[in-house]
Amino acid sequence: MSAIGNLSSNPNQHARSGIAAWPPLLRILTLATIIAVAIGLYLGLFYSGTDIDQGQVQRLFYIHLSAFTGAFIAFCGTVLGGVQYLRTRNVQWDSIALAGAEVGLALSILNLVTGMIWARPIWNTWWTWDPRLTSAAIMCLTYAAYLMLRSGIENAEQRRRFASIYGILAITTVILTLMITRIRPDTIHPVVIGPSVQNPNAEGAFEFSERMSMTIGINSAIWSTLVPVTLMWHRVRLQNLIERVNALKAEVLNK
Amino acid sequence: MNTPFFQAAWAILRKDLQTELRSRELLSSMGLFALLSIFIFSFALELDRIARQEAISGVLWVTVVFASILGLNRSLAMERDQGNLDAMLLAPINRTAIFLGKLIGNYLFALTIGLLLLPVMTVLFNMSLIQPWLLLVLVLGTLGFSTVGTLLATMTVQTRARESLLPILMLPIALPVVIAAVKASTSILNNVPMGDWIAWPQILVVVDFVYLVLCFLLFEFVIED
Amino acid sequence: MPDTQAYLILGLAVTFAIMALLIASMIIRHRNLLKDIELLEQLKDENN
Repeated sequence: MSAIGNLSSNPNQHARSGIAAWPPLLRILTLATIIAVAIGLYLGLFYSGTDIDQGQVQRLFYIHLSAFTGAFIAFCGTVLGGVQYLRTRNVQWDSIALAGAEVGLALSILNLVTGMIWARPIWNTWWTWDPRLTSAAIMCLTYAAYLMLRSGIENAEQRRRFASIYGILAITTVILTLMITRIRPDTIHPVVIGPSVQNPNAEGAFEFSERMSMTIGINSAIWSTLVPVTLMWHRVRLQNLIERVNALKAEVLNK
Repeated sequence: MNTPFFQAAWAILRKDLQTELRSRELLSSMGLFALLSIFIFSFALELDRIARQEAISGVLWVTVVFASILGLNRSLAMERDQGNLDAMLLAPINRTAIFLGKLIGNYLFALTIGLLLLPVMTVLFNMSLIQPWLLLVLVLGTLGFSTVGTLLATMTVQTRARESLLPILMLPIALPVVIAAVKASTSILNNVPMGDWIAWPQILVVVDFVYLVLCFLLFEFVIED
Repeated sequence: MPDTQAYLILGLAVTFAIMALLIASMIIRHRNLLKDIELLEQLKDENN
């Protein structure tokens, strides 16, 4: 896949550093992402109306849901990277997997924390051992364990191989988080997407005005595409730099 | 000429069973740990009858899971220390047969401990745990985390961090199994009508199947070279 | 309408903080790596 080659930093470009060294597409993408996120924030903070029952804190929902979709995409990257690495042994795929796990972990922590802040005024508690929250927390722990696995293996080949395997297994926690509301309808967490069987236990669900729907749609789209892809691309470039340093170290120390 | 798949798996399983019968190393350490765990829970959670009904399945499953982690670590560490991992790689057998053999062995050990715990807990907690549906849940649940446990233990035993890494890696992945098992067990022990909790064993079957397939496919990548 | 604005601001602050941490960590690692490369290139030249 020739596009993979484009992701690696051209060694000649290290003569210049900083933004000048970025591939043109990455420059455009980064700028577009920043602008898009800003627009999304504007929509969420000003354009969409204020919810009568919940007040201003409801606006956190736009970030909360978007962060989850972003994390989901990133973790899909980890699975794809893992599978492809095992098949082709091309290190670039493993870099993508690692980037997905790191970016995804950050986004899923964001999801968890914004959820907690939203929950405090609405449910009157920071946390509850509810099925959806529990599985979301498990998801975070799983990818933290992924990163810990990687840091615990010195041999590069073994590290990449084992990480690929664990990354593939880890997606089960993500699928569990997505599906848990279908299995356990007595969750307190509102079911927003999909056919919502009227959940009598859910607290905090809100009526979608048209403006809100548009805000949710645009924010989710941005955070599920531009944000994870841009962040992962930067992380992959960083990883390539790390590989280069390791190669240099091996060269110098073996003299 | 390659040894046929099931013959190879059976050979590995038989080796594990024979070793265990002679030394009883795994079962005694797992069993002692399990008993200690139950005692500690019994003291730590001074439960009245109502709270006990809710908590007891959690106590059972936490104990079984940690006992199985103990067993997995020992089982795979023995393989590594005796050079068996390399030997099995050199043998003309399908790599996946190794997985099947180890899996069944570890599964049987964990299941044995689980079964032994039922009468013990019945006495200690004054609740009857010896119920057919609970046995079924025990059989299904232990299979689930034995599957991922065997795969992950084979992995961790080859790393620098060794045994300490297994619980960190295994527990999140095993959680869907544990959650379903605990929910089912609690309902069964509380004599909840079957319609309310039958979904959980069904989920267990699905999750077990998914994990079995995944781990069978992935195992050949765990032992290479 | 309950006044939950304080929580919104907290949430926004945390959002920026987490994203900033991620990006800052990447930038810092990048800078350290560039320094490492410089040093290693030097060592390589000295060895030669």
